[in-house]
Order: sequence, then C-alpha cells, then structure tokens
Amino acid sequence: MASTESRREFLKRTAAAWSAAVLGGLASSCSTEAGAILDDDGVAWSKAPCRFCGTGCGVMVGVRDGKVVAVAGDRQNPVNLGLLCVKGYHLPGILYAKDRLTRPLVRRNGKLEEVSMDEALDLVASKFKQLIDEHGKGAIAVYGSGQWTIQDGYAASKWIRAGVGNNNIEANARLCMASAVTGFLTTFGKDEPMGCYDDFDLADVFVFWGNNMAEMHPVLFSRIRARKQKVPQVVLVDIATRRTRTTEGSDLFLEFKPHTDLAIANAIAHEIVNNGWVDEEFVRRHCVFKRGEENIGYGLRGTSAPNPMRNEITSFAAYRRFLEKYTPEYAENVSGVPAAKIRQVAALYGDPNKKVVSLWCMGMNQHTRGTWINNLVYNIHLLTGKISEPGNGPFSLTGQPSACGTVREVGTLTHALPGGRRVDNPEHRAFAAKMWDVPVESLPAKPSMHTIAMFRNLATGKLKGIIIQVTNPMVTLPDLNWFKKGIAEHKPFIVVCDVYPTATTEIADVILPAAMWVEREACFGNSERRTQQWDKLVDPPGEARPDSWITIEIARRMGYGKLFPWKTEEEQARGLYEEYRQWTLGAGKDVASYDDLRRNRGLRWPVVNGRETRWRYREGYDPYVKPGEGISFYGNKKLGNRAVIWQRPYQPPPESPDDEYPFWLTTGRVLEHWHTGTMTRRVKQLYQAMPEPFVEIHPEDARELGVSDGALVKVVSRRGELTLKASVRGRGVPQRGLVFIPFFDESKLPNLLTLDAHCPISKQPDYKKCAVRLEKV
Amino acid sequence: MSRAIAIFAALLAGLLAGCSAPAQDQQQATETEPSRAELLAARRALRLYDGAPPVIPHGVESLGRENCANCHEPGALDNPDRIAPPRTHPAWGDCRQCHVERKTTEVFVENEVTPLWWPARGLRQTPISPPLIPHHIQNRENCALCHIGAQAPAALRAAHGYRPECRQCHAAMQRTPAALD
Amino acid sequence: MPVSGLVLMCQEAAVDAVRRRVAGRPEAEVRGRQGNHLIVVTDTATLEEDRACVDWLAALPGVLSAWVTFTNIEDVATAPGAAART
Repeated sequence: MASTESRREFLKRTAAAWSAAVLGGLASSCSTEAGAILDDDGVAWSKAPCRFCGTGCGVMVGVRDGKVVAVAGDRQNPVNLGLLCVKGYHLPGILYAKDRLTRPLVRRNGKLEEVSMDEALDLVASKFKQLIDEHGKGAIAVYGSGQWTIQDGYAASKWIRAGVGNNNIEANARLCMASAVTGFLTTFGKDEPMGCYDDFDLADVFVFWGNNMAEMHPVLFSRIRARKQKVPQVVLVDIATRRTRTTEGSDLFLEFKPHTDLAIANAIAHEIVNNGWVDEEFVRRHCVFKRGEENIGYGLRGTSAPNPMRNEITSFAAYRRFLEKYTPEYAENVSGVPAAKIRQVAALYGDPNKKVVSLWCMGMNQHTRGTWINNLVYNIHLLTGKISEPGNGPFSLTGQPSACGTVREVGTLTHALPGGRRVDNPEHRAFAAKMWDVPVESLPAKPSMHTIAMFRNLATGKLKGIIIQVTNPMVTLPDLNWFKKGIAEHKPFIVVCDVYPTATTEIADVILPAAMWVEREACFGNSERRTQQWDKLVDPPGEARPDSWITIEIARRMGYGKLFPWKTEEEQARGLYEEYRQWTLGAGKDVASYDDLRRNRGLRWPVVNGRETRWRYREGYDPYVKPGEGISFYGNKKLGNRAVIWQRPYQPPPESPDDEYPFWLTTGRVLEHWHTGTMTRRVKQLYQAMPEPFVEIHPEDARELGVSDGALVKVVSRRGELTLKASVRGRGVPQRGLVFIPFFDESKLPNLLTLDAHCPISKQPDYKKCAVRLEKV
Repeated sequence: MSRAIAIFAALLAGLLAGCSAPAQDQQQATETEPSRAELLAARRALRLYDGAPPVIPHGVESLGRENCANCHEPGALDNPDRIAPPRTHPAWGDCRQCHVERKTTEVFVENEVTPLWWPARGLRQTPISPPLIPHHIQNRENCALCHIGAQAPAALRAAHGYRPECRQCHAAMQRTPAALD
Repeated sequence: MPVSGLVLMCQEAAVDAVRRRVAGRPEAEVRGRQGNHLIVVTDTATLEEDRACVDWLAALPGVLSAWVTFTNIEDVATAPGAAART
C-alpha cells in the first residue's frame, strides 16, 4: 500500500480528474446566462410567460429536437416564483394536437380547399380592396383579443387606422375587461391598476368581489394563501353568488343575489362615512365627488338612452345625502346578505390599522352596471385612503395573457391609440399622424363600433368583411343564434387566423394557420403592468405564421407596405415593439426597452431610467409624481390630479327571473379549461379531468326539480336552450334560484341562452345574469 | 501499469461500495414489489411529461377523499399495504389546482406531443461510481421520500441506507438553470 | 478525512480573483481551469469541515455555483464526531 500522503494525493488527483470529466461532458452546452443549462439530455431551457391567463406566470420551456417537450415553473420570475397551475404545467400539449391548422384553407363552393400562403394572402388582400372600393373604407374590420401579442395588436391597429383609414378594430377584451378600463378611466383618468402583486404579500384583508380566484387565478390565490399561512390573522372575504373553492379558502362568505353588489358596495361606503372611518385629509386633498347620468339603459337592440358619460361635480355633502338610503339593512333587503356581515366587511375596510386589497375579474366586469360597480369599489379605497401604497389597493385581475399589454396599452379598441391616447382627441391624432407618417386627415376622428356593434353590423350586412385573429367569437358572443343567423344570411367575407379548427373557423371563407406562443418571438403584458418578452423557441408547423406577420403581408398586398419596413420575423418582433414603445415614453406608460425585456423576467411600467414602478400615483415609487406632491392622480389633470368618488345608485338588471323563467343563469370558467377550450380541451390530462360542461344547481332546487347529480337537465331561456348534466354538490354550489354553466365547450354553448345587454359605458356584455327555466329531461 | 489500474479499481470499489449498488444488484420485481420498469410505466401513465404534476388516479369528490393530506402527507400512512405516494414538494394550499382527476379515458383530439421522459437510471461515470440523479430536483428536494427507508419502493431504494448529503455523491445529470433549481 | 472534487462556475471577470482566494485557504487547491470553470480539490478532517469548505467556496464573490462531483468518505467513520451521522 502506498504511504498515506501519496494515497491522499492519489485521491485528490482522482477528485480533480472526476471533476474535469464531468465538466468536459457538460461544458459544451454551458454558458453563464440565466437561461442557459448544462444538460446531457439535449434539452434547452428558455424563459417565456405562460400562454393562458393574465397572471403572467414565468415558465421555463424545455425544447429538444425542435419540439417543446416539457415546461417547469420559473423560480426567477417574481410573479409565480416557480409555481404553475395545472394548465400551465400542460402547456407542451397545446401545440401538438393532431388537427393543428398548418395550411391556408379557402372555402370554395362550400368546401375548404388547401391553397398556398401566397395565394391565400393575395386573395384576402384583393377581396378587402374590392370591398373598400365598392363600399368605402369602413367596409372591413379587424377583431382580435387579449391573446394578441403586443406586436400583433400594434400591427393590426397600424394597418387598419394608418393603412385602411378606419377605426374598425376591436378585441375580445371588450367582452372581458372593458368595464375595468372605463372604471379606471372614470375614476382615475388612467387605465390599469396602481398596485401590483407585491400587495398580496403585504395585505391583512383580501376581499374577492364576485371572483373565484382559486380556480381562475390559482397561482395568485396560492400567493394569498401563503400570506395567510404566515400571518394567520389575515382575513379573506368572499363576496359571491355561488360557493366555490375560493369560498372554501375564505374566512367570511357573503352570498348575494346577482347584480346587488352595487347596493353592498354603497352600504360599505355608508358605514365608512357614518362611523367616521373616512381618511378626511386624503379625501380633501386627493378626491372630488361626481354624479353621473343615471338613466343609461342596458344597450339592448332597438333601444336608446341619454349619453351615459354625462356627469357633474358634486360635494362630500351631496355624496353623504346620496348614501343615506344605503344602510346595511337596505342592502340586506336587496341583496340577501345579512346587514351584520356587511358591517363586518365595512369595519375591515374602515380599520386604519388593516391593509386591504380588493380583487375582482369577470363578476364585476361582465355586468350591465360594470363601470359603476368598478367605481363603487374604488370609492371604498378612496374614502379610506387605502390605495397606491404597499399592501393597500383595488386590484383588477385579467383573464387573457395580454389583455393589458395589448388591448389596453397598445389600444386595440375602436377609440384607443397607444399610450392611453384616443382617436377623438385632435392632439393625439396629430401625434399618431407623426408617428405613422400619414396625413392627419387620413385618420378618422370618431370611434366606429364596439364589439357588439361590430358583430351586429356583420350580422345585418352593414359590415362587409372582417379578419378575426386569436379568438373565437362564435363561442363567446352573447345570444349567439341571432348573430349566426344574420351572418349566414348576409354572408360577409370572413378571414380567421387560428391554430385549431373552432366554431369561428366554421364560418370562415379563408382560414390562415397561425404560429402560437413560443413558435414566434413576441411580448405579453400581464395584470400588474409587467411586460414580458420571449424568443422563438420552435418552428411553427407547415405554413403557420405569426398573426403580426400575416397582418403585415396583407397590408403589403393592399399597398400599405411602407408602414411596415421590417423584413424578417425577428426584425418585425423588435421593430413593432420599439416603434410602439415610442408612444409610451413620457405618457405615464413607459414600457421597458426590448433589450431590457430580453434580459429580465419582465418589468412593470412606467419604466423610467430602467427602473420599474410598483405603486403608481405615490411619491417615492412613481417617477411621475413630483417631490412634495405625496399623491397625484395625474390621469385627472383637469380635476387637479384628484380621483373621483362617484355617486352610482343600485338599479335592477334588465332581465330578472320571473314565473316563466324562474332561475338566474350565470356563466364562467373552470380551472382546467381556458377561455373557449380550443387549446386546453386538446390536452389529454385537462380534457379527461373536465370532459364536458355541466349545469350547477343548488341541492334544494335539484330536489324540487327531481334531478340528481349527473341527470340531464334542459336549460331554456327566451333566446335558446341547452341540455346538460346536472352538477349537484360538485366543486361549486350556487345559491338557490341560480344555475351556473361553464362556456369552454363549443358543442354546448351557454351563449345560446345569454342576453346581449351590456354596460352602456363600457359596452361589455353581462354574461353573468339572465333568466332561464329548467326542465327535467 | 496493470498494478496501478488494479489499485485504482480496488480503491474506488472500497471507496464506493458503501454508497452505491452496482447495476446488476438492483432489486428484482417480486410479487409484492413492482420492478423499476413497472414503476416508471405507472409514473408515465399519470403524466404529460416528467416534471408535470401527476393526475389523480382515483375518485376524489365521488369518494369523499377531499382531504388529500390524510393519505399523501409524508408519514401519514404507516400501513405498508397502502400505496399513497407522499407529497414531495411544499404544500401550496390547494392540491387540486395542479393535480386533477381523470374522469374519462376518452380524448377530444389525438395529441402528438413528444414528452420529455427522464432516463430510467442515472448515468454512472464508471460501473462502480455513484449514479448521477436522472431527474429534476425542483419539487422533489427530499430524496429520502422515494429512495430511503421502508416507505421507498424497493426498486428505487438506496442500497446503502441513509447518509447525509445525498447530493455530495449524486450530482444532478441535468444541470438545470437557477430558474429550475 | 474527506477529499472532495468540485467544479466552480465563476463569472468570467472573477476567475482570477476566485483563484487567488482559493489559494489562500490551506485545505482547498485549484487543480485546473476550463473557461470560467475552476476545478478545486479539498482535503479536510471531518464531514463538517468538508461541508463548511464547500459552503465557503460557494459563497466566494464571483462564484455562480459550486458543484461537488466527488467525495471520498472512506475514512470519515473514524473522524471524531462523524460516526453518528453515517
């Protein structure tokens, strides 16, 4: 045996050789970048935001041999710190279902035929030109969604406004968060939340307003649960019309009759004012009081009403008088929620030592008084001064990955221009003309059609052609039968860009295959103002291309090529973003540079001098608030940088249950499926977990009807009918007299039943309330 | 020269005998103990890819088994006849936001996804060296749950019993970026 | 008396500085370099010291990761205080 000394030296040589061998085997694929990996399995990992909801979780995407083979939660992304929900974990499956659209299809004599991308694009461009020649500039429109990347939305907006010369651009977000936008604008003069997800780690009280966050934003709900676990005295309050997993996780449940949240919010304000919980100094310095037009109707077909935006400045005294009626007892009478519970919640809001976050999504937005209920929740935060500071604030959640980043920030709604600008503002139009290098006269000054009007015009023959990208209106429009019939009768020219066959490709004359998610390079913007970028990681199948590329190619063929000087897809991704960014700088919406986005897990705007903003409107956090101002709601310059406390009354909804149709119908989502289910239903694990929609019925109602769990029930409204299996004591239990149906299955459409009534200010339909009857099958 | 090789081999063998079982010594399947191949097949049947949360292979709502922790909390079940894999990651409040039931065996549309499957075994630099860890560590930081003691399936159990610092000898084969660690 | 082999992944600019710091620690020794990776061998009396040394290396400024690829624990059982842990 060798001496101890040489034996130890031998061991050290072995140790070193071992390290070198291991290193040698791995060093080739190694770099020190954050996204790099040492991996002998041939898998390369890169960052991307999740494709689904507005939370914007970071995922690490594993790619091998040109395919996405796995994902994992991104621990470096502050949104989710490595956690995903079941949909996020199943992202690889959404790219590879067998019926992926890979070639352009043109309908000829009722049959879809494959053509080349060139031929399809030529056909679309020439048909659009012909329609414009025959019927004028307003003959065609573009409809997208919050699934549009920032680049897609900007390209579409530039094409239709600066190229075609109309404002016929809308997005599914109109059906999803338009009321949140008008709520923000009417109260603060500027869209989007002042706070951010950091508030969820800091608040003492969380109030969910009609929001099943446990299923719809599960990763954020986990963050709130973690807060509660750490600080057990944290209180979660669920204000809802049905018991859900969110109720299970909450400490206090207020079950209210649909639409009566208006009365509850005013009653909470009543208690705050009457108990002296108002932050007088804050209200005096930073708020004004207003009263708006109250006879605003419900936007139903064939009805008209005064301008819902009309308003006047009032006073705290007038507001007090307005609130007098809204005692907790009044609210109990209207809503069914015991007055004591309303007082309890008011006391939580009113306690100066408790930080409170209010959260909502579709419950408040899909509401014929959507703008009003948004205003009323802001009132509570403004009265108590609990806003724009760590742990305190109202937070509007979003359902689509870039509803904020694209639809709201880029402005893909008829009235909107990037950076919070508007087409009906001459200065903003002048800026647009300069940015786009077109004569200012060529930019129309009037918003044209909101989404419902756009599809009503399509169904009545007034609108001749449309291109629909990344969304599925033939599932999501309310009162679908009416639209379907009209479209079949008037046969407008319909182009649909999508990744799978959907209910909407069924009505298309031309189908263009789209690249999705990491098949292209782009950006999304999430609910907390965080813009996130990802690189192209795999090739799209066949001839599929990014929506922005398709828009640009159509624009070129229509003679607007000058607007889009970028050639390759990479140049387009960067070029579209950097041009868009110029609109945001100095406008309070400064998004980060493309290079900064590439390097980071997203940054929250306004990003000034490379620094993101966590709390807007507050000195020390928001670079737009000048030293000494403390708080400045600078969206409302004309009101002296003050936010508005609105007098918004409770008014009943347009259709309520009656003898003939005795039940409320409310619609929504489930954990497993996202939006219209076109992606998630194609993933085995998700489909098998939730194979079909159901009608959720209260056990007592089910007993009276004589149906048990799983029995077939026909749901009938004045507009249509639908037969589904009953869910009794499932994961959600509605209140008596209310049924719930999820909308993910295009073969079982609750929108055959719904009403197209909408908020007259936001034009967002109310999918949460109409009257139905149930029949045992 | 040949003597040097012999010493090297003897040294390494002596050095590592206690901390790794040579490949041929892996436990064989018995009537009660599934083999490694069977375990992996069962594992894969419940997942879209390795690293994805497994679906729940039993009824939940229908069986009133809504308290997952009763069976899946590490150490919750002592009965060796009950196979309920312990949770390998921190509890995030609601198990069912990642783990969903399988209510049907049908599919809506066939899917051609090519999943990432981790290798069945960790690579060994030499036949007698400790195997590298063939899977990601994220959400499975506690090696003991699957590899140490009576609770671990025999086919995955370490032959050398518990030693501190598993990762001192067993390095991760897939060196993941910090975002995944 | 554990002997361990490690790979230190360093920031490019810090490799030389890390080398100098390691050279100042008697139980650790740099045995090679590949790009921004240093191959380090440690020779300590007990597992605790081995662990402490690895932690020290991992915490050095400029070190992105310290990866233990090899540990000889043959003699560890005889080291004082270590027996109970094996």
